[in-house]
Amino acid sequence: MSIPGLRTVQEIREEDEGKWEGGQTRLSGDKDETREIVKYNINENFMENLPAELIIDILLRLPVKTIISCKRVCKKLWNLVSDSSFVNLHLSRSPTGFIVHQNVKHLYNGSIDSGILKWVEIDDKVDDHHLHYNTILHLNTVPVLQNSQISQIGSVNGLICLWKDSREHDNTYICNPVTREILILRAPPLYHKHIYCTIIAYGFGVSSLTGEYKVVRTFQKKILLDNTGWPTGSEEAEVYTLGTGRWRNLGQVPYRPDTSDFGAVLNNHCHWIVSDSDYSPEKICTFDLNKETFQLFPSPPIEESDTLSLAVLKGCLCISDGNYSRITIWVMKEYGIKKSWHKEVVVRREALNPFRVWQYWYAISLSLIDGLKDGTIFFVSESLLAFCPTSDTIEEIDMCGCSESGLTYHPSFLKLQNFESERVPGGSTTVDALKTMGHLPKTIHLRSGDKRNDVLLSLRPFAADLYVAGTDLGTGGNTAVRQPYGTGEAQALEVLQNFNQSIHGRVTSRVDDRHSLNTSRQDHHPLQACLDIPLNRNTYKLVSEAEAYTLGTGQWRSLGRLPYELHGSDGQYLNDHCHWIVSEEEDAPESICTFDLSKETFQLFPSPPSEENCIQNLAVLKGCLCKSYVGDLKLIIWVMKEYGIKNSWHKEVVITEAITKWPDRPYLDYIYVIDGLKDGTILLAMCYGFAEGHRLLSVWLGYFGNNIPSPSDFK
Amino acid sequence: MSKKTLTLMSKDKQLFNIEEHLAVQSVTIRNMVKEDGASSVIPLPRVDSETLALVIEYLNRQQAPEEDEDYVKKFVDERGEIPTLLELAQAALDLDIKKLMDAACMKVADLIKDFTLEEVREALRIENDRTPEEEKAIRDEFQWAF
Repeated sequence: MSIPGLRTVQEIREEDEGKWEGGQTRLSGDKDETREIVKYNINENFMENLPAELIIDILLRLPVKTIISCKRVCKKLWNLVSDSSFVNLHLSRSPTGFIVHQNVKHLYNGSIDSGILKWVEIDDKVDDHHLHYNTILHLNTVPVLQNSQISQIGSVNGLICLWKDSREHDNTYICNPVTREILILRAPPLYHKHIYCTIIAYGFGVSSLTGEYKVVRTFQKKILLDNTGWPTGSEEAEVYTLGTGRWRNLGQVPYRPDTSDFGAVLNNHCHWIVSDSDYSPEKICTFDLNKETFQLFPSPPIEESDTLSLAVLKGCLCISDGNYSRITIWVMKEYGIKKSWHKEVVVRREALNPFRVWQYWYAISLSLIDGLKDGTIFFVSESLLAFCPTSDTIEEIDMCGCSESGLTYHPSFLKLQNFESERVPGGSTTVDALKTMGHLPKTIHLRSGDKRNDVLLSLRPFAADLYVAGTDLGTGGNTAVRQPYGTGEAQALEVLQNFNQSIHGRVTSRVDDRHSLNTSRQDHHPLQACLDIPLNRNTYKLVSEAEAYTLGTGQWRSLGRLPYELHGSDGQYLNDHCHWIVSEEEDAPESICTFDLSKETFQLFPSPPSEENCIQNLAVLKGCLCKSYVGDLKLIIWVMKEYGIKNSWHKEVVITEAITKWPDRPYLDYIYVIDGLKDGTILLAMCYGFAEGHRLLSVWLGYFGNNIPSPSDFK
Repeated sequence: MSKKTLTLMSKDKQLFNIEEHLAVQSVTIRNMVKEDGASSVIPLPRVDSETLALVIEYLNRQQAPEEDEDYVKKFVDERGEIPTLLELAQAALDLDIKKLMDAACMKVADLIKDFTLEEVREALRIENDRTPEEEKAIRDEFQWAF
C-alpha cells in the first residue's frame, strides 16, 4: 500500500544502516533521551512542509475575505487558491449570501451613477442569524459599466450577470466580484430601435450535463400593435453559452416570460411567471438549461392574482402573490409535483405598514430573495427587509442606501479567464470587448476563427507605473529564452499563441521580477512554473546576456553574452527558432537575430531592406515570419515566404490612407501585427494612452481588412 | 486475555507503545495491521515525538461516544498554538484520524480567520516572496477586501 509520507520499516532500516540498530528500543518514557534527539524546528517555513491537502482543508474553513488575504501571503498559497480543484471545492461549500444592487443615481449633469453591489453575508443558525454587509463592487469604477443604467439579472456559482439597457445599448456582462473580472458578451442585434421597446426577460444558469454557463433571454423581434394599441409581438428566445462568443437564436417561444423575475434557477431550469397568465393553463414557464427548450410548469391554485413573482426559497420554488391586503407565499415542496404547492406564509399588510405607506405598486416592487433556517424570509423593496413569521413582523436592515434588487449569491473564485480560450466558430473575427480603462484588471479578447493558428490577445491594463521594466521572452517547444533589458517602457500586452497542437505558451509580462509560464492550457492541471528574475532596479543598463529555462528543470541556465543587443517585443517563435529585432545601434549586417531552440545558439538571420525612421516589429503572419515598419503615417508589412530564404522577403502590404483615418495618429507607434486570417485580413493590435500619471487611460484593439474601422464601429 | 501492543516510531526515532485496539482508530494503522499484521515497528517519518505523544494521548482517551465530540474540541483547544496544531493536523492526516484532523484544522481556521495578511504571515512563519510592486498590484485588485 502507498501512503504519502510513510515508508516501510525496511526502507528506513536500509537507509539508516549503521546508525541505528534494529534491536534497540527507546520508549516514550525515556524522557532524558528526547532532549538529545533533533527536534523539529518550528521556526522553519511551515508552508514548505505542510501537505497541500492540509492547507486546502484549512483554507476551505475560512471566510472569503480571509482566503483572499491568505492568497496574498505567498506564492504557494496564491497558486493553491488559483487552482481549479480548490475553486471547485470552495464552490461546493460556498455559503449562501445575497448580493444587493444599490443606489442608481441620476447625477446633476444628466448622467447616471451605475450604483454599488453589496454583499450580504449571513451567519445562519437554526434559531438565530446575523447579517454583515460589505461593498463588493462600485459599478461606476468599471469603465464599461460607467454612468449607465445597470441591472443585475442573475447569479450562479459566484458569477453575476449584469445588463446595460438603454435605447443605444443592449449589453450583457458577466462579472465575478471576488476575482475582479468582467466578461463582456458580444452584443446581440439592437432591438430597441423600434418605436415600442421590446420586453426582455433574462435567465442565467449552468447546464448540469455540460457544465456550460448560459444566459438565456426572450424578446420580441417584431413589435406589432393589437387592436387596443397595445404592443404585441411573437416571442423569441436566444441563448449565449459563455465562451462561444455569440448569441444563438432558439426560435419562437409560445409564452411570454415576465420580466420582473430573475428567471429563478432551480433543478437545471430557469423559471418565469407567464406574463399573460390569466389565459394560460399554468402560470409558470421554464427553460431547460440542458435541452434548451421552453415548457409550461405546474403552478399553485391562485385565483385572481395581482402581482406574482418567482424565487427560490430554501431550495424550493416559491411564488409570492401580492395584493392590496397581503402577500401570500406559496412553496412547491417537491419539485414538479403540482399537489405539493402549499401556502407557506402570509405577510399581512399591517406588518408592512410601519415601513411604507401601503400602495399598490409596493407589492409589485417587493421581491423575495431567500429564506433562512429560522424561518426568516428576505425581501428587497428599496431596502432589505426581513420578515419573521413567528413574530409576524418585518425588520428593515439598514444598509445605507436605496436597494434596487437582491439575488442569492454564493461567492466563488471561479475564473472568467477560463472561458476565453474557447473557439469561435466560423471564419470571421469577433471582437468581444474593446474598451477598458482604470485600475481594475480585465481581459480583453480578440478571437480569430482561423483554427490553424488561434490567436488570443488579452490585455491587462495594470497601472502603467508598475511596469518599470519589460523583458523579452519567447517561448517555443518547451524552452523559454529571455533577454533582459531595462528601458522602463510599459509593456501591457499579453499574447497567447497556439504554437502547435500540444503547447500553449503564455507569457505574462508582469512587474519587473516575475514571469509565469503557463503551458498546456487545454490540460485540466496546467503545468505552472513561476520564474523569478533578479533584476537590479537601480541600474537600468542593457544586459546583453541570455539565459534559458527548460520547463521541468527548475532553473535558468546562463547562455553567456549575446553577440547583439536585441530589442522589441516577445521573441517570435517559428520553425524552432525565436526571432528578435537587432538594435539599430549595433550596425549589424542583418536586422533580425534568432535563437535556435535545439542548439541554443544565437545567429543573425536574413532580413528585408530597412526603412528609414520606422519602428520595427516582428510577428508570425499565417505561418510566415513578417516584419512590420511603422512610421511616417504608414504601416509596411514584409513577409518571408520561404523561411530562411532572403530573396523570399516581399512587401505584403503597405497601409497608408487607412491609417490616417484613425483618430489618434500620434500613437501609431504602438501597432503590432498579431496574425492573419485566410481571407487576407491582418489582425493588428493598437494601443495608445499610456499616459496621464498612473492610469492607463484607454486601449483599443482593432482589425484591418481593406479598410480600417474606427473604434466606434465596435460598440 | 492480554491486549496486543503496537509500537510506533516517530521521525526522530522515538518509539511509542500503544494498544492495538486503540491504535486502529487510525485508518492508516488499521490497514497496515490488516495487511501484514504489523508485528514490528510502524514508522511515522513525518511526525515528531512531541506530536506523536499528543496523538497517542488522544488515541488513549477513554470517552463515551456522545462526549467524544466535546473531548476532541477541548483537546485541540488546550493546544491552542498554531504550530502545534498544524503538526497535529499533519500527523492526523498521515494517520488518517479524521476527527482529530477536522478539529485541528477547524481550530487553526478559527484562530486565523480574523487575521490580517501580516498576521497570517507571522502565524504561519511565511516570508513574503513578493516585491512591493506585486503587492500593490494585488492590493489594487482586491481593494474591497482590505
